[in-house]
Amino acid sequence: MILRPKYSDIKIICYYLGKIILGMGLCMALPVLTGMMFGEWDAVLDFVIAMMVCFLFGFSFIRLFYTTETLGWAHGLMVASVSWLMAAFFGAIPLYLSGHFLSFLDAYFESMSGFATTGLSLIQQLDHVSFSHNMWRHFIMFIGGQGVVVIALTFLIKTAGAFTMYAGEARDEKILPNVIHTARFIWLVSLVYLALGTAALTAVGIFEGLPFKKAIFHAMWIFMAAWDTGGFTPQSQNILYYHSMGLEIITISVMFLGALNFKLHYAVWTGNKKELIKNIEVITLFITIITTFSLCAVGLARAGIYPHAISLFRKGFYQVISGHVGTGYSTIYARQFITEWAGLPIIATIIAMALGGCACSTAGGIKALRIGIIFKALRQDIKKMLLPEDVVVIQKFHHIRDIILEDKHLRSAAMIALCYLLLYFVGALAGMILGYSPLESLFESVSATANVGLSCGITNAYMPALLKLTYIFQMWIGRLEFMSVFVLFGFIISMVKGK
Amino acid sequence: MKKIVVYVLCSMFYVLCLSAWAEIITSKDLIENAKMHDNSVVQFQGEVIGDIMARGDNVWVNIKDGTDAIGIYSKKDLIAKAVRYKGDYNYKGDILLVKGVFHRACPQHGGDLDIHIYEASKIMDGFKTPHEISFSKIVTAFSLALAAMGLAVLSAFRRNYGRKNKGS
Repeated sequence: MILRPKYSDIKIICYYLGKIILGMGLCMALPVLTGMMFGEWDAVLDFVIAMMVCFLFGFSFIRLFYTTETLGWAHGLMVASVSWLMAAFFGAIPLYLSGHFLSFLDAYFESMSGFATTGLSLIQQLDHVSFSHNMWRHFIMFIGGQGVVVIALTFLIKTAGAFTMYAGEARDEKILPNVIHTARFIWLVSLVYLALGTAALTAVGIFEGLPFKKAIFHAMWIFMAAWDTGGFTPQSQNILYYHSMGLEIITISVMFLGALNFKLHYAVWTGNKKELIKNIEVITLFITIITTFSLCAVGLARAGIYPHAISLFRKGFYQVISGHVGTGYSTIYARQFITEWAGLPIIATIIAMALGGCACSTAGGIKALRIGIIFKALRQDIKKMLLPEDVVVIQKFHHIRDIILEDKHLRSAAMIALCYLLLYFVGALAGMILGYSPLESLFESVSATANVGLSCGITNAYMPALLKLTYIFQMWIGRLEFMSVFVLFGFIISMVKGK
Repeated sequence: MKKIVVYVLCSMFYVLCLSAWAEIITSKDLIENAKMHDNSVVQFQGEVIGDIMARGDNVWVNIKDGTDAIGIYSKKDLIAKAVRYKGDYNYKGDILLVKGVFHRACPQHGGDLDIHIYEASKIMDGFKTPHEISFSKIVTAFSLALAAMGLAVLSAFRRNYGRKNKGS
């Protein structure tokens, strides 16, 4: 029997949603300040309007649904899943008002792509976008990478059930015993790297010929999108705009750091540097990056596109690592994936995108931890078959500490991996139904689901609305790693069918 | 007769070459058919976007023809003479017509798809883009701010009233 949710359940969910919407409005202060700094008054108004809409909804929700009840597991997961839909909606308002989108759906797509740290974009005339709107596009990636709920936990919510919301954002690992301290640690790490990364990228920008002010802002935005494995850039040519090897090297380093587990960052920050070479995720990530790049390199060498090994390495490695860690920065044109990289290179890139970065990081995809666990389990089963029946085979893996591999680890890893594979397939099917080739459809579907942002040219403002909706859904569910979205579906069904 | 035939054939070849050279290629064509155009002389036209990035005696500038922007590598003085406005939020950039050698994967620049140019001429001047403040946006922002402030005050008042009632 399905139980229909009570009004008190809806009150709890709406109350916390109100707080998150309020937080979203406060975040818009940053683009407002940026606009004021550059005298972009028309753009400032876009953000003031959106901010006030957030305050109106936020205050209304908090007032109407005020409650002191504690969040349960289902409530927390519901808040996490709905808050991402709402954040994308409110975040889309200033984007739509900018006049750079053909419809509100396009602005919503951009906003969801930003929050989910995907990087697929439908913006028009990107090279003529204001500083304040660019600040917002990149800042939502920074918020989304850390987590919409994580930001609310850091500043606005201090409640006993906070972990449920935190877990709903696909972060099932607490770094510190207290979840609010965990959220603050995530922000501390991100802000320290933001300062260092911006300084390094600014220096490169100035060296490569950018004016001082622009160098600082471009550096900050590129860092935000690289660290959060997002992929938005302030220019339409993506990273190719800069024609700079220095910038490519720094962005590779930043996006790789962003794809590492925050728990690993904590271990290294607290002096446990050995974790870097022992951790199952790092080892798996290293192996899969080398494997996918090798496949790509063989394909590119056979095709004979690049005149020498350095260019092949520079282009091949950049697209593969950017796809693997889920950033989506590129130094080739979208259509080149189809016209020049067809065959082994594009297949290697699709595999890299599908695998993804580390768990509890800003990256998307199946995740290295799950791949590592599945392979360990496979190894255990093969060992069992080779050894006498009465021998007990114990398989361990190292993730911060030594853990004995149990069925529950495998079940959880395999279930999420299967969900990702199914979603990759469903998105590809949608693309094929709408008239795109199987390879293009699969590439774009994997890119959207794994929150990568590399495109082979399907994603543009003129693609069918149904495909835009499909990719929005894929970006959302892929970022939240299914569970909280499944709970939302369950909640809706129980509202209709429950007794 | 033989001389006439040779003359006609040479003339036809010259006209064909000229028309091929005169044709302005699009970014879409360059990207889609990169292999075909590799190492050939092309003419490309579009808006100067972003910045002119100096690299020694040369510069990088990106030109967008409406679909995609292509990286243009040039001598510094060639671009300095031709470009005044660069496209960004405040300006519509100059429209340039450039001629140079197209590279599908430039050996000098790490495999970038680019054009090394030796001719550049301005087709159209850029201009400052007006960004008028919309009156309807001001009214909307003001009304929403009033409503949000009213709601915040009402919430605070009710909370205080509730506390007082509990206290008494």
